[in-house]
Amino acid sequence: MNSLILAILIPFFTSLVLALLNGHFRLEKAVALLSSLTLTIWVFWLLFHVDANGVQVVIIGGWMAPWGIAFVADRLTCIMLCLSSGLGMLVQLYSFWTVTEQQQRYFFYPLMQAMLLGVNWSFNLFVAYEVMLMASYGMMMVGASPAQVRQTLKYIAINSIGSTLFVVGCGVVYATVGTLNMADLAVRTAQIAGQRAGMVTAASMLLLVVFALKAATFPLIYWLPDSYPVVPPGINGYFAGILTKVGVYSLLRVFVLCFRQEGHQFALDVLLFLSGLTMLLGVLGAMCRWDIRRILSWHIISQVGYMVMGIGLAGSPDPRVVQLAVAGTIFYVVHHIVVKSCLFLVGGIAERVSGSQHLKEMGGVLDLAPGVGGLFIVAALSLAGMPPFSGFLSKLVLAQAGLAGGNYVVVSVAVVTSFLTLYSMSKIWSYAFWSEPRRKTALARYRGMMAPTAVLVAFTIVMGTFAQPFLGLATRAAETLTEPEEYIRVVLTAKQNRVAEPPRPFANVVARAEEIR
Amino acid sequence: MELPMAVVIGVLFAAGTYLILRPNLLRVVMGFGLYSNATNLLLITIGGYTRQTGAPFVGADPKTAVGLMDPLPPDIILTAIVISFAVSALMLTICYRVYRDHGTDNPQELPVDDDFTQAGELQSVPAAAYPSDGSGQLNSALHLQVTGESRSADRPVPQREGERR
Repeated sequence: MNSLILAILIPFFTSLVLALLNGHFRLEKAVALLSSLTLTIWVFWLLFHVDANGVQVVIIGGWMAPWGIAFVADRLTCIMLCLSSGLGMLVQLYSFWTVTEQQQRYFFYPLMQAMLLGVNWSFNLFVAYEVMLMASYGMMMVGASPAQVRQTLKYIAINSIGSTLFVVGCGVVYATVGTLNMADLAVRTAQIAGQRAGMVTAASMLLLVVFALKAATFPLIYWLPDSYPVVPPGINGYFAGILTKVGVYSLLRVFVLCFRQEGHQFALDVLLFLSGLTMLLGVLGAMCRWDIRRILSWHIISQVGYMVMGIGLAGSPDPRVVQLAVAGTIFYVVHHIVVKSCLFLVGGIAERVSGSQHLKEMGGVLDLAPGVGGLFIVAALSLAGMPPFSGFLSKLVLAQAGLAGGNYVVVSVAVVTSFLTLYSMSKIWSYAFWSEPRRKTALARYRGMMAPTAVLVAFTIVMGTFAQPFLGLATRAAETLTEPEEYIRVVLTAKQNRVAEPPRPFANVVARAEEIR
Repeated sequence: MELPMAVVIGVLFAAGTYLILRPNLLRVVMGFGLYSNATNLLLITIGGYTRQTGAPFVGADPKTAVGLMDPLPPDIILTAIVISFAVSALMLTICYRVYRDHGTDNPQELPVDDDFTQAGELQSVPAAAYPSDGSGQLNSALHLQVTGESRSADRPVPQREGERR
């Protein structure tokens, strides 16, 4: 399955070509769209392939799995790939209407995602993170207004601290466990007990801080509501949908799959505790804001709380609860990526139609652009968790897992948060959409922007009403994480295709490493 | 070798933290530089660097692989150096832009962004505001027209937009 690497190569070469095409905007748009369409179709095919045939591995270079770089695609990876490239394509379509220049940068994005999600070696996760972050710095600054520049500075600063901790965490994990390959980590940490287990837990807590920072989990949340509002509309849909979820994905991958030492539940308990605070604080922050982008940004935080709650519930001793919690988290991630970016896109249209992003100044978008109101209300109700949309089911699964595990407090916090979300959404609805219109006609053309948004809205309806295939896929993806035997076997026994053994000069080193092992 | 290294790493991290907390953007960037150096030293130490072990594949007998430190940490360090180099270059550029936009390098004097950030400020500065002669000086008339700021173009002065609420 060498073609796995296509998920990285397609966006990589597209971004190079687009950089060369700088200036020919029409050609750039065509190339970018064609490439992202190809990528999306290809990753959906990959999803079905992996779902049917199990985990796929590609080994890069002449080194075998625990030492070399292995790209691994399991079901969770494929789900994330589909979401990021599909969303990337829609956001590009949308931004054709909103951006003027710098189109060549736009495609740089799915590259990071694909790279990140395909990569499965902890340190390469770090490299991919950095590439993703560098691109996000660039995207945040497109246009370079004073507000954007100073917010990007904060964003870079906080992420640099995170990256430093990431390298330190990887180093300490390597020093205590002796490997950075995820499958190998899962094998080795499972055998660790006693005092060394405490050391591994301490090392894993460093990584927890890093991923919690990227995911915007309490108390590391304050960078998000400041920096996301300055991202250009359209692109902020992608930021909102994917970037923090990459943190959630890493938490899920690392703390459910990799760390299995004695007492590894400690990290999950910490996450469970933090998740309640994240949910509540996020929604309270949203309630007191009047700027539509800021409200939506605060809601990202509160929604991340739900996903982290699902990961925290995986600390339960009952394997059935763990299964349900992980499946619920994956389902929630899918739901959230779709709905949240949809809300940001709708918010962008509403801003464009009314000429303001302040709720009290927007006024009467429903009269100016009725279709936009329809899109918003579906997405908003789905976010708050009303049936029949996907938000209801995803919250239901998580609440079931929480009740089965006996975590009544966090489940009640989740329910309260859901009500407060509804309040906050109805505030946007009544001020921005329902009130007296401030102008006669829409300020700018917006119909073209509605098409990508409508696709996302349709997805949340389908996911809510025909949930079984999605839920089944999430459950199977969760199985790979909670019972990783297949994953470990496939990764560690994967042979490099062309070279049977490592290149000659390194053979001794490999032999020695084998001895130490 | 581990104890002195641990002390050095600790001191570097402490100094880096001190610099990052200073109200001066340039020092913040330098603080991150110290952070990345401390991290690299930590990785070297983890790789088992001693007086006896040399750099991987160079100082050692390739047949026996004795006297070889673990090759993975240096590999990680190389990557980390490249990344931190790129990030600090970017940060320096951005610090300069912040200084040019606001006339201050004290992060505490930068405007607070809240609900009442002027809408005009989120609009981008048109490319025409930057002259093509490479002088880097903003065409102040155009810039001011876009951002709605009132300030002297010759010598930027610190100022706040909107009050802190």
